[in-house]
Amino acid sequence: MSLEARNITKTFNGFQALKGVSLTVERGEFMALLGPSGSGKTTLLRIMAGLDTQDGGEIRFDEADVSGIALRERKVGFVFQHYALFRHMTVSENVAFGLKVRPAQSRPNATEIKRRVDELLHLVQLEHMGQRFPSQLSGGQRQRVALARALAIEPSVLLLDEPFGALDAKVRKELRRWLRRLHDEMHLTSVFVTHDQEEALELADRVAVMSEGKIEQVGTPDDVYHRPETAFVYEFMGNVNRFDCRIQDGQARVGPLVVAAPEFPSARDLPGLAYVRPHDITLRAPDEPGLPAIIRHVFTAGPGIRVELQRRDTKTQIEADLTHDASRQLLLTPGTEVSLTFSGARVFAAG
Amino acid sequence: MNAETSFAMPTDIQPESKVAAPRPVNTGTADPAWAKLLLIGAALAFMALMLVLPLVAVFVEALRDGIGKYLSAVSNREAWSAIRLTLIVAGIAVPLNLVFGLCAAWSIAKFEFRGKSLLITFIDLPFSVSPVISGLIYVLLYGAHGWFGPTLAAMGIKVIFTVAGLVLATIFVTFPFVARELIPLMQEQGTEEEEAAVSLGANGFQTFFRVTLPNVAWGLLYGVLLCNARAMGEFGAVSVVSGHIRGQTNTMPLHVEILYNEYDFVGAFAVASLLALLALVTLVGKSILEWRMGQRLSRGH
Repeated sequence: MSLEARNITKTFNGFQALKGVSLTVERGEFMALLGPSGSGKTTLLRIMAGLDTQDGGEIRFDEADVSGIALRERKVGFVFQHYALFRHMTVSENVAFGLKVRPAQSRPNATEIKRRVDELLHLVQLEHMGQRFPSQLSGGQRQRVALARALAIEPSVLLLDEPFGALDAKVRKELRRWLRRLHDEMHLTSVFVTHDQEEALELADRVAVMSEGKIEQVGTPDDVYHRPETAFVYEFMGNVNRFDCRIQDGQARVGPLVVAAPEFPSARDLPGLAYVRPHDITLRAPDEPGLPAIIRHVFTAGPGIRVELQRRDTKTQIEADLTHDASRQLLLTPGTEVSLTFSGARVFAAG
Repeated sequence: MNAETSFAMPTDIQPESKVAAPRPVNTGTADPAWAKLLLIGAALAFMALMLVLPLVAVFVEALRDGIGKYLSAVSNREAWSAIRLTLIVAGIAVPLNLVFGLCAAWSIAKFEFRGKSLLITFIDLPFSVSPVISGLIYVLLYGAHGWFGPTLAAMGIKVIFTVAGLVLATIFVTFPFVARELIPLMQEQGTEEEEAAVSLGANGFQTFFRVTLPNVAWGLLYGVLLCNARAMGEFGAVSVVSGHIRGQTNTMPLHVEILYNEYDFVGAFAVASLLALLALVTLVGKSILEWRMGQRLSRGH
């Protein structure tokens, strides 16, 4: 089932959480709502589910407006951030809940319910945990129970609120790969909320980046990472160095460096900001042309080398990521003078 | 000119302070042994003198003239009538307060609305008002010369000096117990489980009886237990509205007072011993429930 939000607005006690958000999730797609806290992503997800009601706009499931349809009628699988498992029920009872509360005429019989529960527990790899209580499970296991419980009602869409937020780093990684596989097998239209760029990029077919109640950009992980449309997206999608610059005739000047700014072909001395990712910075010998800087710190731990530099002219901090290979050709000691060039930069108008 | 870098904190690195180190014993702040003994001794002596001794005295006095006297004192017609009336009053007031308390706690914990803090304050009113005043309020409202008394009397309904008055006064006095017990519990649990239930297709009844109620069951029982103890033991408010008609509007605490005033000490203490037994049963039940709730809490977190 496809899912569409049209011009959704929502205000909480005078705070405008959503300022006219429109978004289409295609059938079978895995969509991430990515944004910092307060960007409205969870509010949008809850409105899609029917847990909250929008002030304006509509939610459509397969072209049909569901705005007037109550949460319990929408058949939405919702996975809560803190799982919201029924604490007094066993794992099996939790999973069976959605089937047991059906009206008598559509309720499967006890054997059928048991079969379905076993099937779902097998799917989430918790076959032997059926008789446990939620409090006896680890975070990752609880998350999987919550998922099995949501899937039991055969939902038309699956909505997940920060599904990995409460888990530790290692479990989080494993679980998100597993969830991606599960999604690919089930072909369920899914939307999940996250504030973690890496998670969104790794998991989703498309990512909607949100900020202050608006969608900044919707696109494939490749799009939003490599071709950010706004300064916000550029900053949010990874570490970035920001340089004040002046834009003139499709070029921006950062100190002595000239950076292409094709978006501003006819600008006349326009104040701008040039964004440069740490891995797009190249260190050269001080006599070569470039932006003069001094090495302050070198961190060699990890897959690459991170160098903290200070600009000679403005004394501001710059971070650069080098590969171990590239660093072998340079003498990286604090205090060394270098010249910086950018292999990639993106210029936005300031303000 | 301005250059800025932002790097996300690695999430898998725990702050150093999280690592539990054995805490060195700080002898500088430890109390000397004599102070500890003195404080514990004082607390125990106070307990024995003020709480245990009177309790023991009740049973000693009740059994002073032998078990036969005791049994006849608690099984005569008037005593039986007082016991029966106490059970009836508690039997009506406690279930009603269970429902009222649950409603109040539910609305306070699960909804946001104007006047919520006012409602919370009003729930505590019966605790902060002297029980005698509570009784007098009802006389003022429903008495022969009260606000509603004459109207109700014209309709043939009498409240003051009847069981209805006793029940009303008892409900008023015991109202906070259930609500007070449930509000923090329900607030802590939040509304996520209910939301989950509804998203899975449960209707309001199913959500309440399958999710909300089981989650607060132990707290509810605890509140009911305390509510019941107070309902059966209440003296002040009940005394004002009762009229002390023997065999008709005398509850156990009132009966104790009458017997005592008539110098029937064995009778008074015999009936009092029943109330004391109720207190002991309540305490045991309370401890069991506290233990159960503690277990659930430690499992839940």
